[in-house]
Amino acid sequence: MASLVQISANEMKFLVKRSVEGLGFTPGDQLGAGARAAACYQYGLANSTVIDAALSGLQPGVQAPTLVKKGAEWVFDAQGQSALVQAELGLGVALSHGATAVRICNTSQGVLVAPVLMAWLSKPMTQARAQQALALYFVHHSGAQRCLLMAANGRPLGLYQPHAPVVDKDELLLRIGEEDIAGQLITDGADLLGWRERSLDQGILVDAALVTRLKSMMMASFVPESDLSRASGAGPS
Amino acid sequence: MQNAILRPPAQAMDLHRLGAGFASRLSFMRTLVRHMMANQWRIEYSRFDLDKHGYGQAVFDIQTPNSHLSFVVFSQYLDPNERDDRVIAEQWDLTMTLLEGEVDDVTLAMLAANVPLQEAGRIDARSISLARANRSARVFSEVLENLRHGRQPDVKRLSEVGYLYRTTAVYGAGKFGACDWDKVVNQHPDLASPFASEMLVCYLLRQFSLDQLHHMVHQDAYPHAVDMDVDLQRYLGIGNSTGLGMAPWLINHPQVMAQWVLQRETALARVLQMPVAAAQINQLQELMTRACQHIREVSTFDAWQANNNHILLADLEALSNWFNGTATEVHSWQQIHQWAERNYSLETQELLLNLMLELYPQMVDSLAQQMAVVESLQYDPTAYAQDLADAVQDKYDWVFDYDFNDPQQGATFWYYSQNKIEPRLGKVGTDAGAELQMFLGIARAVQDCHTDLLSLLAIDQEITVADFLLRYPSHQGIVARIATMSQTTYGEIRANLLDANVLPMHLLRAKLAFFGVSKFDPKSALWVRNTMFQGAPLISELGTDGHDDWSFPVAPTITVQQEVANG
Repeated sequence: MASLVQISANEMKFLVKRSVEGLGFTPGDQLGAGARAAACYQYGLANSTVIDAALSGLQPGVQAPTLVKKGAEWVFDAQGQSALVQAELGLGVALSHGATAVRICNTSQGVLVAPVLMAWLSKPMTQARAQQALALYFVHHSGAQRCLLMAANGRPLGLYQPHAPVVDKDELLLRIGEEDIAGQLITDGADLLGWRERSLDQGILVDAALVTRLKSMMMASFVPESDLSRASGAGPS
Repeated sequence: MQNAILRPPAQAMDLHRLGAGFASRLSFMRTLVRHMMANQWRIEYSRFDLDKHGYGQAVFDIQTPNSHLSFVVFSQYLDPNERDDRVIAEQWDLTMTLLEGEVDDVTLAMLAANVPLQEAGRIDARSISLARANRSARVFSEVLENLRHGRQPDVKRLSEVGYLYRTTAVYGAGKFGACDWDKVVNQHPDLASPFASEMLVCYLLRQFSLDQLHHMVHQDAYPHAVDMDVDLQRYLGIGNSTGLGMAPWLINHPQVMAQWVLQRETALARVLQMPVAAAQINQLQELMTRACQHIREVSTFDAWQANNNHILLADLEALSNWFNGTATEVHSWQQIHQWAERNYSLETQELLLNLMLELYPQMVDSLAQQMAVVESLQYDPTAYAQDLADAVQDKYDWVFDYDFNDPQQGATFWYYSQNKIEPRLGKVGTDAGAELQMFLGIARAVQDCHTDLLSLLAIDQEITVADFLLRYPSHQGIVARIATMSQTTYGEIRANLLDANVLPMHLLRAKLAFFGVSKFDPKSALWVRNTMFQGAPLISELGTDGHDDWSFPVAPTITVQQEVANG
């Protein structure tokens, strides 16, 4: 059994942000990654396996998903980039042009875009047609299909297991305006919010190995110590 | 009341003005103490296990209206050569944590194994704050020896320093395993104001410093020992050493700063529209007299600060003369404020405004409840890019004052060292690490984003923010910032932090003024010492009336010097 470390959501945010920064991602990607990793952990939507895989899937050379197809369903190619960063760029474009479905291919850990969508919905959007319930389909780290249903105000309504496969393992699918999920409810919205309360109360438990990995990765965003830096870069010696 | 007219962002968010700030009724120390007194917090020791040298552990038990808290302090010997105020230090005289609930033996043992290690240890989600402090080498021994031998300490000497211990870091908001801010908000409403838990830590530390001192004073070997005069006890605060870390914090939490400024400016606007009575002028002049004495008692070797203080004192004298000569012609606070703007330094202007707030607690104090803000920088992907460009023009016009083709405008970079993640400053082209600099160049980033926005809008005016970001994904962070901050009244601190001549001290002071510190004593361009809670009521006075007027404390007059021969 893996050794666990209790950390705060703020620490998770910081560790992931700095780790992503250490890989050379932009400030927007850094902040987004930290925030969504922490939020998913707090809702019980992600665990150390998800974050670990998302970090492994990061492609520093990729800037944004590319549009493959427009139509009833918009399709983007994430070019291997994990959903820890950038996937929302494609989702946002589809939403802003009235698409009813958008699929991101060639990605991983699609659940990580959920906090971004919740945040968008939590405030009035300029184009009211985008302000609808959202159903986010992704593949759980166990390999099972999952769907997270979000209300038009961003509140999570429930986590479902679809009756039939909807996405491939390297995809995520967002359906706009879908409120009835053809699937079995696994966790309702109250439980998701309750999990968040519990995470706030007790902190979140993370594999020690992931914390070690994050601490190692984030060092690349800090400047190595030197006598000159130590003597002249800060306060009293 | 008529709608009060706020000062414009160009004035209120100007970094030089923010860097001339002072403590006010809305400063966090004042509001915390006011809240503690109004709600009669009960604070007492549940443990006080110190040896004759003052080493050991102590636990405060704190009952607020909504929470039961504990404050645990560990005191240990520190080699004077190891006493270092920087982040990179690894040992301290005192280490401490504020946590929820009672502390049993198991918890205390866990804390004892971790709290003294600070960043190298781990606390859990019961803890709200983690902190440390170093003893004032200058004063502690002198005071101890005087009291042990029946003498009160030298007031002038105390005035020069103002504290027995100084904090070198007070961590909150989920650091090192402590609970997140959201938990504090949900479960501990008495601490749900900005930095309330950190301020409480410093307040309790101040009390501990006095109690530890008296414990060491009253040992058997000193039969003539006396307590410190209570006025002197109240005059002692807790010191604080603040380095560069506060500067990036302000830039990384723009919504917080905008909210703080909005509340303070709202208070000022309410007061400035009030008519003036002669009695209030007299009251203001009394406050000015006390502030003058306070400034005279500031001890600093920093030429820049000393000169600022000198100008401030001259201005206040001139202002007092102006009052005496024109008192019958003064009809409004606005008139006084405008006179000050035309004739006196920024520090004088800001001090005067803060003193005016003292006269109207009923108009000001309730604004303290609105200092907190839920932080989230985000954009609406369905918004039109043209609206974003317009927001830049309307709310970020100040960024175009800087020419980033001039190397001087981008000559400074801010970074974190691998050594305990200490924030540091470097010079581009001279110091290593510019490629790893923090994202603090807001003005430059907005300019770059605006240029790309205009280029895309020239092709298609109907594009959305999402379209723009898919084309220019590197702007995602600054777009979220522009979209969010352009909705606030005050927006960003207006400064280019990359300028060759940037003064981090302004940022430090801006935040410290909201905290409510006094006696700014810059030790270089990169760090400052100051004093917290000087003049605040002692814990034993929390349940009594008349202790809200403790701004700009001055040294007390001790009339009886007890000279008792040793033995």
